[in-house]
Amino acid sequence: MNKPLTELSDELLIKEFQDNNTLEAYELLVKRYKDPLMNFVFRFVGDRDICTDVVQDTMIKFYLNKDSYRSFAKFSTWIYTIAGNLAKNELKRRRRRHIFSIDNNDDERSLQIEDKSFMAPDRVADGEIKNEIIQRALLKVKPVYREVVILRDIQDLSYEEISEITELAIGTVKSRINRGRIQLQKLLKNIYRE
Amino acid sequence: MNQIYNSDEKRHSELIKDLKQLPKIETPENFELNLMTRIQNRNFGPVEEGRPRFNYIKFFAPSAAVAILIILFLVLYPPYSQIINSPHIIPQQVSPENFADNSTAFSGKQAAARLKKHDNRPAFENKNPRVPESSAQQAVNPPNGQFLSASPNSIRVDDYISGKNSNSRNIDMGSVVSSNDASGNLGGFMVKKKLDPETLKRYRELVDSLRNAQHKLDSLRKAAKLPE
Repeated sequence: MNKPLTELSDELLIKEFQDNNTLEAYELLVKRYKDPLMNFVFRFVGDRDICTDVVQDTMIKFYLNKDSYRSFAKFSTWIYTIAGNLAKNELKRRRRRHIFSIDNNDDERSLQIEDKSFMAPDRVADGEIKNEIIQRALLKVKPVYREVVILRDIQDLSYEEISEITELAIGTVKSRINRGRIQLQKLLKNIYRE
Repeated sequence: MNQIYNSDEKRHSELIKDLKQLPKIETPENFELNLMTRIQNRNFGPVEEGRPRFNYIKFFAPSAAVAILIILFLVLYPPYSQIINSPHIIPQQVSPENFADNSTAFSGKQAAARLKKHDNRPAFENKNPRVPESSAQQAVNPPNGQFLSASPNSIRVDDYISGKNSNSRNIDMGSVVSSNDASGNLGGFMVKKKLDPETLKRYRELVDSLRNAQHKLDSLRKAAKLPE
């Protein structure tokens, strides 16, 4: 292999890591995917610290189970699948914890998202607040729709890639994306007037 | 189909545009350092656990415990002890006296009296000088708890096999007793005692004399043409 590792594709890098256990190849893949995965998991879970742990666990899982990757799949879809599964597990864990917790402030949070009539329009126009409102609304969307909307509209993945990551038919992916967008639009009706 | 989805995208174009413009979240600066430290220290946390492997000990432990309990139960409480110790079962006390009481029904004198009463004829007399009446009574009602289980109508198997048996009618009736053991093989409730040969000899003689008497009586009946 004459090319430097930095010029190799993801698939060749993981092959190098699988065949020769080259830690440099692994580190390169971590560098390439740590931020996209962080963004995806943060939009899905909504907590930065938890999100960092989930991405770390994703990378550890990749390190431990490198041989389970098969060359016919794209590396990006494989690593997104791992991260998505870990993020879903984290959500389930949080939901269980939330059910048994005494101080439940979910009602207050939903009010903040849905009742935006009190906000002045100039403040809504402010980018930072708008982004925060969108993020909060995103977290209110059902997880099955949220995942595909994030992958499509935030991570810019193709339908085929999303179909591989979620192990769903392309038609199902498209309809779920559409439903997710409709839900999101309803939650953000004060910003987007049809 | 694609047109439908394209029209959907147009409808939500503003939302999609805003979603794309959301700020990209990045990992903390020490992310890689922490990751490589975890890998070097092999501190993989909950990720390493993965799917639980099949554990034979865990799998067989409950069934082994149940089997041991069953074995212990059988050892400590065997089934027969339950029957023996059952308060509902009252053991029957069998003593030789119980049998001795019955002997009065078969005493020689009473047998003769019955015969006399039934036939309304002269009573049977023991004419055999070798066998006294007292010995006949003794044979039927043996002293010292000695019992004869075989009825006079029975035949011996050994005799039957060897062809010496004279009382062939009893074979048809199924009255067959075992070989030379005169006491027979009775269950566990009777006191088994070996008959002394002297008593046995006397008993046989008595039976023979009774049989002869019966034959004579039959011949007399035929001669006198008496009704049965």
